[in-house]
Amino acid sequence: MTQAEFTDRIVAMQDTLYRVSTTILPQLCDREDAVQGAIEKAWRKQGKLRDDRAMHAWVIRILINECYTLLRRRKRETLSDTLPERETAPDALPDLYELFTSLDEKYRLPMVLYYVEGYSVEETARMLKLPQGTLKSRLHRGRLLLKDTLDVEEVRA
Amino acid sequence: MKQDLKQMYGSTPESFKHRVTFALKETEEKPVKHTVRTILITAIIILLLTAVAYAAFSSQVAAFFGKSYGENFETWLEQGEVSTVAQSYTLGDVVFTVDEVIYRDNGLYGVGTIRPAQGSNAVIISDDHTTDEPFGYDIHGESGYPEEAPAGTPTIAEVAAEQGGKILVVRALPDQIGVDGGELLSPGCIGTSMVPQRDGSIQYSFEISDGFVIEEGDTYTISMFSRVCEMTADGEWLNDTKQTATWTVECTPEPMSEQATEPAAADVPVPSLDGLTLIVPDEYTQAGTLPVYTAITRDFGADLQPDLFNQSGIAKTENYLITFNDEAQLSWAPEALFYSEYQGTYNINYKDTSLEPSLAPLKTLRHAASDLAGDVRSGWPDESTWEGITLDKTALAGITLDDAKAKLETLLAALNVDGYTCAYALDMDVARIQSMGAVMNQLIEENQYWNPPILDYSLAAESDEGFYLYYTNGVKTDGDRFAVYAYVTADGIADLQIRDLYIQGDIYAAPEYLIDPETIPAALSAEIADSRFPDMTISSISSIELTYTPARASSKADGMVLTPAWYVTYRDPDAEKYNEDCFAIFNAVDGSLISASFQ
Repeated sequence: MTQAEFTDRIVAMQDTLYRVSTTILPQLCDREDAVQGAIEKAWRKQGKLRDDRAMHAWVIRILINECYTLLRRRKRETLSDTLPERETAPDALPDLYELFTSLDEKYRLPMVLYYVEGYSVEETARMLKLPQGTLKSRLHRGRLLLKDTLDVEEVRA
Repeated sequence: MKQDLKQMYGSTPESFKHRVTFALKETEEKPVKHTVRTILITAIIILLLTAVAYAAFSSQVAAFFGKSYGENFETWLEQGEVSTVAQSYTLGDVVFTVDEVIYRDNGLYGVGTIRPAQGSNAVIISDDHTTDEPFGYDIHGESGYPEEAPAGTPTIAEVAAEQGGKILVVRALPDQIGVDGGELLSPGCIGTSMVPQRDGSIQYSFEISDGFVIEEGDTYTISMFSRVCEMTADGEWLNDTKQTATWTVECTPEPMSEQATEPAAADVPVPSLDGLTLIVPDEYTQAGTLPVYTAITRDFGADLQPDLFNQSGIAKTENYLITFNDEAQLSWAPEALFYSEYQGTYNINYKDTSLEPSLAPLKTLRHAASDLAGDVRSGWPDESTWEGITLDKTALAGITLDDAKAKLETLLAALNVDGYTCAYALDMDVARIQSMGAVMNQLIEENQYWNPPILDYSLAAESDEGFYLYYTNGVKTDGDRFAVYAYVTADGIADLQIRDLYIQGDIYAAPEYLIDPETIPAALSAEIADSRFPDMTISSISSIELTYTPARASSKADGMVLTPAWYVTYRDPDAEKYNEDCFAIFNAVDGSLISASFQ
């Protein structure tokens, strides 16, 4: 893959990268650090990517790892009484966002990847390294938790 | 749902897009040089050449931390020195084992196992977990990523009931480190994790990176703390069953392979010395060297004289804490001493009514004034909050700046705390206390996670006026291990913190010369290139200061010394962005790196 192709693909998915990192990391500065780290790693390791068509899922997987590494570091550094509030974009829907972030993270990430980003169950399961059955049950549970607020739709395999 | 959830996040912020663009720009400057074909060929050649070395590279510690911190860190650890320890200690029904330890760059990284003793039907649980969690699964992600237990997995309490065994809460962590038979010292910070395993054991890890305690040696002594306590199925600790023990582990790490000892260093450019400030004491200018002193361990608890701080009489004495009749408190540790005025109590959970009230001592207004002045000095929560607040007056109600310094210095002399001089002072008159107090109250109200008390600063009176003083003694470390803070009013000292880890003793060695400071920037670059963050760059070095810092004596049996050290203040691009400084401390006698931000 050329540098130009790589750039085009990353730019095309930057909104997705923002939403995925926002699902895990409360602070914008950390999301920015994570996305930079993920892009650099993806570029350096692109030789490991056997199929260019899988690049989206692969970059998201790297980003998720970066986010967890940062989150883990922050937890070690931050005292419990100084935990940062979640930062949102000015045009975000704060009530829904608050409700969604109140869900356990194990439901949030699958819901974002499946419902928002439109990946299939198989793709999402691969990204999250989860069995498809586990993923489906998380999506189901996540929908139940939000059912009073949002329209629900069935999982498409 | 999709549209709702998408809108929920709002637009991608411009700063995020800029960071994406920036990262992509970086990839233009760091092209991937190998084609896939070349990589494959190279990989085969390396495999053929290093087949033996590969087996030696298989390290439990590197693999464990690699899962948490990523491949780069795993590789970095693999270039360290490893010791297969396999030393165990049995405490009650539980066996604690240290399996493997790696030494790398002033740090020790280890993994171990905790398991029920042979023949015991007890179930063990770490104190971060609860009895209703699935047995044998790392659902907290302690090893990097949370595991999902399959439906139907029995809980810890259920397994214990089935086995008819006790539930034992366990903990293991290193609490002190010795090098080559030298003094056992406590590290400033220890990272640990406890990972449940399918077989009911717990794999634990520890990571300590502290150049003042851990330096390169042949043999490391690790003092391990272990604890076992029975817990009910409902999760209640049975404290009268608690057992603790401290045991020691000796290890002699060896390089994992010849290849591992020679990592390919990244190329970190040596920064320009233009604009750099070199700070050296007059003694060095005249003699070209400075002596090394023995460091005598401080113990503030020995011969403590409470009436030096407060004459109202002692109301209560607990472990390391004295409460006076006027509610002021004096507390201490061997290396630190704290005195502060309090009056009354407040509920620390006042912002969360769902929690049970929990009372804590309420600081007096002058104690609060001291905290505000301390915030100005440290720039907390950010420097703009207190912009323009500097020393303005040298005389306040009933006290001058010189009086305040004299009072503090008299007390320091009585405590045998020598060599400290004033590095910062701030006057706090009534108007300043009230205006800063109003700002602080607003910050507390705005931040739901802050729980300091809201005080009525309008009640501040002339008797609350005082000088906030910060004293240093020229010994620099990775934090405030040597520092004095005090708030001095006409009535005396209302708030005091002293941290003084070591007393300077006699001359231990008199080196003929010290490492040339001009070599330090290159040494810093080399250390970063060899660190766990080899991609880091140095944006600028602002100063190199000749100071003192604690270190182990050249003969480890001689304990600790205060050695001359080059303290480098520099910035990497991240620090530049957040307007923060980084540091590195080099031993000025032998040039070794003692401590740094990147460790």
